[in-house]
Amino acid sequence: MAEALLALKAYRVSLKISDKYLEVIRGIDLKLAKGEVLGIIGESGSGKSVLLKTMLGLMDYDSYRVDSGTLLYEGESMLELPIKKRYQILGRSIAYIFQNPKQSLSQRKTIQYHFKEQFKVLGKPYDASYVKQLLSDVGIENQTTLLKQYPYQLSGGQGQRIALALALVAQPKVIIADEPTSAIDATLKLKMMKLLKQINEKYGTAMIIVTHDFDVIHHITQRVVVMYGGLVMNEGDTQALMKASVHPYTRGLITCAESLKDMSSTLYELSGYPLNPLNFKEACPFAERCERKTISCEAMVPIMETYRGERYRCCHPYLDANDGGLAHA
Amino acid sequence: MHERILLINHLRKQFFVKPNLLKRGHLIDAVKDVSMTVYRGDILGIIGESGSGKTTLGEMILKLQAPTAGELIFDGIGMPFRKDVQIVMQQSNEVFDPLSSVEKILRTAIKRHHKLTKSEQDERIEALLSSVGMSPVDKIKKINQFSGGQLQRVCIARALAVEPKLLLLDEPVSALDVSVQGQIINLLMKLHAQQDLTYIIISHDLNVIKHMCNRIAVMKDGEMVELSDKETLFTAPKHAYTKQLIANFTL
Repeated sequence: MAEALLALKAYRVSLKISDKYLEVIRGIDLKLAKGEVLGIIGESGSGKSVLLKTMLGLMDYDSYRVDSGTLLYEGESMLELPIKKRYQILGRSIAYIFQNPKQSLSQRKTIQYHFKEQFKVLGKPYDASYVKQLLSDVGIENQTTLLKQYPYQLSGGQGQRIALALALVAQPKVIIADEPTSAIDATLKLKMMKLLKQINEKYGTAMIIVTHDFDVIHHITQRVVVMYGGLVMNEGDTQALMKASVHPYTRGLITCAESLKDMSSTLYELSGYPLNPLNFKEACPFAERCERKTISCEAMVPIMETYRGERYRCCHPYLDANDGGLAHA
Repeated sequence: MHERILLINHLRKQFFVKPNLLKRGHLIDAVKDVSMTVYRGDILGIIGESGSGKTTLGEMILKLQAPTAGELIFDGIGMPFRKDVQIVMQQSNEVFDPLSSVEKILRTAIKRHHKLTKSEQDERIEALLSSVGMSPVDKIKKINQFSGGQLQRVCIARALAVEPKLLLLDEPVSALDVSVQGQIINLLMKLHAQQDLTYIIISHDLNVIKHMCNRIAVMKDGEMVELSDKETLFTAPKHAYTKQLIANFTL
């Protein structure tokens, strides 16, 4: 991998819950190269939202504590900087698209107002033709009428597009999209995915896409990180991982998603429920639900290992018996 | 099998909207002239994009909204209604009081519609919990201690507590994690096979609909554009909109 645009090392975060600190991110390493599309997949409670929000300083800073770790943006360390300074650097180069973008806009102001404000924050004069070009880039045709409209008049798909166009005003180097497709219809999902791909190709913007939807991951990302219980469980090339991951959790998730598409009479079940951060302990977080569980799973958190370019955290991965001989099966 | 359980006859719902204080309000049709028949034992899916009126139709079936015109006939006329038709909602954590226990929720539902003694109620609560795959020990737990998947099981148990004939499932799995969706769908299918239930499923996830339903209705802008068997709908869709919907979904 060439130079990393964004690199996170040994990142640990605790959330404050009534005077006590609860560790929710338990040591995460993440790298984003220039122009790369990275997917983060994880179920509820896996810590994916906390990870991104604390990284960018979007959470109320009384409510969490960074225990350890470094965040490098273009080689510069970010976490030590005061929050305002961090906003200045990250806010201009990283754009965050929320799950429900319509709600993040002011309902009493027109769309044009939001664009003007964006320019004001960046200290540039308002450029109407640039805005129109951005709007046409995100697939909005009658730009003049739309600019006069209010956020509540938009449809779900339009809201997503506007949020994307607003994010592009600052010409960010990274776009972080939190569940870009979960609030919209299945038909719009396809369009949104194509759009994100186009933006990536046209502007070379790197993207982090957080989702629980394998279709999205499969179609637009190059690399995927699987999170569970505040840890990265599996990481690798999207196509290779989707085809045959060494990790039982990734396999289970993919089988679940696939079996819904097949017409099999009973669906594949991954027993149990996603782990609640309250129940984190020094063991493999997936141990309770794992079908290949051994005694060693309960003893310690598995260390990160590498196999054919795929990183994984598991004591009994699906390796080829001839390769390394680690396999139990 | 082909006994009729619900007849929907030219159902229509209008809402009054006033977009602006200064402008005059007007009526919009949320559901325009929908007619269909649901048979006993059916699993009927209603699909459509947001704003197509599928939730409004569901609310009218539940009698939470009064229709502007048309009629709904459920299994003959003049039956105690709420005992027969129940709903499982999408966001089950928003439905319940977070501090009440599972036992209390189920007992309230049972007491409302059945005259049972305390011990019979207890038996019923335990039977309900085990039928949805939860342990009877869980009954003392409070709602805020459960995860999404467990809560959806509680929600199903609550709906089944009154022994309904028709269950309306409004996006039953779309708020759940991928690894839990399969569990809930399997549970719903198992309950359908075991008990004499009829489902109406509202969803925009075609995979779920395709897996569960035997008949599917497609809605667009308040109209029902197509209603046919699952096989017919997926292999030979008649309406252009249905074709587009299926094409969009299968990428």
